[in-house]
Amino acid sequence: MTEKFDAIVVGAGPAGATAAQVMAKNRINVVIVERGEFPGSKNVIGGVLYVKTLNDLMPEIWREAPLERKVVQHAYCLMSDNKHTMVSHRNIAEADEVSGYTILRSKFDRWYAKKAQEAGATLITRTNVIDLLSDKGRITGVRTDRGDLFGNLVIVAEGANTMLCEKAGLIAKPQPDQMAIAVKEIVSLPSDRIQERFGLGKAEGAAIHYIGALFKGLVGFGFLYTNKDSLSVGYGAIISTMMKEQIKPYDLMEKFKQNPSVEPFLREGLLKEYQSHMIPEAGYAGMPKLYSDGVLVAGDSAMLANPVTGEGANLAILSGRMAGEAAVEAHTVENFTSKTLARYGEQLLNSSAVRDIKKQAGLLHYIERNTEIMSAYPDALNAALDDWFRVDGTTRSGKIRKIPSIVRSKRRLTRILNDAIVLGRKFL
Amino acid sequence: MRIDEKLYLLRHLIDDESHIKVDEEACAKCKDRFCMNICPANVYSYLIIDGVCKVFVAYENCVECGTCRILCPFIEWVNPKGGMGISYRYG
Repeated sequence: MTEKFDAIVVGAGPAGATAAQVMAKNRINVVIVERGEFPGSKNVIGGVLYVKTLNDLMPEIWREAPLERKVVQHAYCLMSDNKHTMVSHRNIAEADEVSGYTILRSKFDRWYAKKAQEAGATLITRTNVIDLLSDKGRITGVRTDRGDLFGNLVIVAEGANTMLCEKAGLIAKPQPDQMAIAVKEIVSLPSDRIQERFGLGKAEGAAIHYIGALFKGLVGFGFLYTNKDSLSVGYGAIISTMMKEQIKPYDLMEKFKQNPSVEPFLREGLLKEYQSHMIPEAGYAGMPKLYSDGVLVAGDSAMLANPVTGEGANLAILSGRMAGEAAVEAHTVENFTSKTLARYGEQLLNSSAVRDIKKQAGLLHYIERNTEIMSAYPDALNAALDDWFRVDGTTRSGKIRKIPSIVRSKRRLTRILNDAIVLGRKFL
Repeated sequence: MRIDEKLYLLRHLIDDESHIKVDEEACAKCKDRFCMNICPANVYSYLIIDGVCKVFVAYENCVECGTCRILCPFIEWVNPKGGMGISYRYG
C-alpha cells in the first residue's frame, strides 16, 4: 500500500476527525489513519464534552450527536476523611449550545468520524502509524504497519502518547510530573434510578468534581458523571506523585469509591468497564512545537487539557478545526512550509482556551511542591462547617471567631498568604 | 471486585508479539519497580527464577495508557499493531 493524498491525519479522535472534516469540506483529498478497531475504541474521556466548539463548526449538530445527558448540575465536593462539603450549582434552563454533555467515547467518536467521512474524508482503521516520513527536514508522509502513505501535509492527532511527535523532534518525551494517570469505571444503573438518586429530570445530568487528599502527598482529583443508564466514576493523579507514594491507581480508585461522599451514589451499580488513560497536565510550558514543515499537531498530542475546568475533548475539536483551516489555506497557496503553517500556532495560542492554560502555567507544580494544599483547605472548611452545625453550648460568634485558628491549624499563615498570592495570579 | 476480575471484563485483540520491550539487565537490578507498582492493568510482575530476579510482562493485559513509558526509561512501549490491543466498548 503506497498512496498519495493531499493530507494525512493520524488518529480519528475528536481532533483528527475535525481536521479531516474541515479539509474534506474544502475538497481536499484527506485520509484519516486510525489504529483502533473503530474510532473511539482506544479512547477514554472523564465524561463531559462542552459542545460550543462543536456547535461553532456544525451549528445544531449536537442535537443529533450521541450525547448522554446535559449537565445541569456542576458540583465541587471537598473531601476529608469522614466529612465533606458539596458546593453545587444547578441550572435547569433549556439545553443550549454552550452546555456540557456527558459522552461515552466509543459511541461519540464513531459517530463523529462518520461526519468526516460524509464530508468526503477516507477513513482507514486498524492501521498503526509507526513513523513520520521526511525528506530534507520536511514531513512528506507516514509509515504504517500496512505500508507508506504520502501527502503534502500530515496532521498528528495521536493522543496523549506522543511517540510520533517525539520521533519528529516536535516535543520532548513528557516527564512523570507532566502527565496524570486516571482510572475510570463505567457503573451501570437504571436511568430512573440515576434520576432519583441525583434529583435529575430525564436527559439531565450531574458532574461532581472531588477535591481533597485521599492519600497524603498525592496530587489527585476524582470525578463522578451521570450517563443515560450508567455512571462514570474515576480518579486521577500526577504520575510523579504516585511514584513517590507507590500507590496503585486501582487501589486509589477503590478508596475513592468507598469514600462516604461517593459510595451512596454507586450503590447497587454493576461494573461494566474498567478503563485507564493518561491526561496531559504539562500545561503551556509542555506544549510541543505546534507546526513544522509539512506537519501540524492537534488535540492531546498538543497537551491541550485544562486540569482546572476538565476541558479536553472540546480543545481537541478547537485545535482540529484550526489545523484543518490552516491546511486548507496551505493548499490554496500550495505552500506547506512552517511559514504558512505558523498561522495555526498563532491562532491556537491566542484562543481563550489556551490563554487560560497559559495563565495557569505552573499551578500544578506549585501544588506538587505544596501537597498540603490538597488536604489543608478542604479539612479547614469541613472542620469550620462541622463546628457551625454543632449545637454544643458555645455561641455563634464564638464559632465564627474560631475559624481563623481552624484554618491556621491546617496550614501556616505565611503559607496561606503565599498560596493566596500564587493561586490568585493563576486565575485573575 | 478485585482488579483481575475488572481486567477480565475488558475486550482485547491479542497479537502474538509483545508491543512492550524491557531492558532485562536494568530490570534485574531495579529497586523502585515503578512499573509493577503503578501499572493500572498489572502488566508487570517480578519473579525470582533460579535466584535471578526477572520482570515478567503480561502485555496481553495492557490497556495502552502509556504510563510505564513515562515513568521508566528502560521500558520501550509502542502501540500494538493496528487493530490489536484494547478495544473499549464504552470509552
